[in-house]
Formats: sequence, C-alpha cells, structure tokens
Amino acid sequence: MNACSPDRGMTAERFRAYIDAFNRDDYSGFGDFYQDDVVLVIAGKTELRGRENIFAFYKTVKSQTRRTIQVNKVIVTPDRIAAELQSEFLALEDVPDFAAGPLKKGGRIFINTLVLYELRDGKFSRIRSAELRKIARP
Amino acid sequence: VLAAGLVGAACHVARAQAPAVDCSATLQPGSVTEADFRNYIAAFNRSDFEGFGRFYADNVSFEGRAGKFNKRADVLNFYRDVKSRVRETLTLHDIVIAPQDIVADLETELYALEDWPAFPTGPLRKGQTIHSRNFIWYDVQDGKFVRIRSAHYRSA
Repeated sequence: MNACSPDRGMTAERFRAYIDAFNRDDYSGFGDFYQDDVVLVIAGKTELRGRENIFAFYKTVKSQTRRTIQVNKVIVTPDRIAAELQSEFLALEDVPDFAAGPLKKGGRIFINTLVLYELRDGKFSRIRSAELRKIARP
Repeated sequence: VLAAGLVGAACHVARAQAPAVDCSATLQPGSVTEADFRNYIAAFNRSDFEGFGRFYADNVSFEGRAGKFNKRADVLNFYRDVKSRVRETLTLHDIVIAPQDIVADLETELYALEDWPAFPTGPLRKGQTIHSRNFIWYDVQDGKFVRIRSAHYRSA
C-alpha cells in the first residue's frame, strides 16, 4: 500500500457517492461514511457530536428545505478530504429563522463552502465547513 | 452553476505543526510541496514580498475577505499597504495538497500598528489584536498560485 495514494478506502468516487446519498436523503447511505463519534463543525459555530445528532440536525433542515449539494472540487488523501461544495437550499415552507438567512416558501439560498473532512479508518471523524460565498434569493 | 470537476488524486496530508505523512516527493513537477508552502507562509510572516510574491502567477485571481485582485502586482500592493499598518501573522493548522491544488486551514492574527477605522473586515484600533480562522483554496499551475479563495471559518 502506498501511503501517498488515497487507497485506504476513500476515493473521489466514494465521496461523490456520499454526496449522492445525502442528496436523496439516504441516511443509511451517507451515514455509513460517519464514524459513530464524528464531529461536525459548521462555520466554526455549530458543533454537532455523534452520528445521531447530525442525523437529527439534517432531518430538521431537510424537513424545511430541499438541499442539493454539488461537488465543485475535491481532493482525497489517505486521511483528509478537502472539497468545495455548492449547496442549494429550496424552502419547502417559510423558514424565518433559517441558519443561513430567512427564507420564504419557494425561496432559495445558494452557499459555496470549503469543507475539510478528517478520516479515520476510511470514515469521517471530523468535518469542518467554512462559507466561501452565499447568494440569497429568499 | 459552476461546473463540477474532480481534482486529480492527491498525495499529501499533514498536520500543521507535526507532519504525519510527507508525500511531497511524489508530487508532480510544477506543483507546490508542503515545504514550499511553509516557505511561502514564513516569507509572508516576515514581510518578504519577493519571497512570498514569487508564488503568485502574474495573473493570479485573489479573492480574499479584504479584497479581490487579478494581478500579482495588485496583490503585493495590497499587502504592502496592509503590512504598513497591521502586523499580520499566519499560522498553518492543517493542509491538504494535490498536484494542482492546496487547501490550507490558516489562522490569521492581525495586530494594528495604527488606528484603521476603514479596515475592510471591521475597524481596528492601534494595539488591537484580532484573530480569524480561514480555509484557503489555492489553485496551482506551474508551481504558482493562479487562484486563491478564502472561506471564513470563524473569528477569534
């Protein structure tokens, strides 16, 4: 095994499969990429610990908005992934307190983020996202 | 909508202060190694404009929180102005390197050498120190940065 190639279970293709599973609300599918004790830190503020807490967070978000993620760029290494993700949030209802900004039903917010994933045994152990750009059409 | 595209297989990942795996030797010619990048940061911190400026392509696209520029000379002029009024120190916390991309988790410390009420990210008072943490994506061609984009992670 070459430690300098992404051959410890994670590849760009697998990362895309993760995003695809996320987009189709396949919790089992995208949850398989998380370590049980995974930590998600959103914009240095919101910190979620554990797969179940992350699921609960996403279930709330996904009940209010339809989020579709596109992978713009990704780097996969043996123990890190860096990705530029473009997310579209389409409001399914009025969400005046939406974290990224107030939304009315049918409104959209587009957010590009740079995300760093730390891997342990081929699964995400820590995920941190930073906002690159946001366009609101609320 | 931006076109989706995968970056080629990456080589190198290392923690900021204690690299765990250094695969820089396997990077392709024309890429920037972790050692190169650390030299870039060191040159930036000592205000060695020639030293860090050599990493910028002539037509570098620079999209920072405090300004956007499309020429190496404009980026350097921007930093000459900033560094005459603020002591800016970068600390590398994490880095992911591929042949044509670098993503760095950088902490920025700004120490105001003078009052700067119109500082782009907020007014600064002389003697004030502020910290921010940003993820920076560098697109690399021929050993130089051709695009630099900064995403804000957190303040303080």
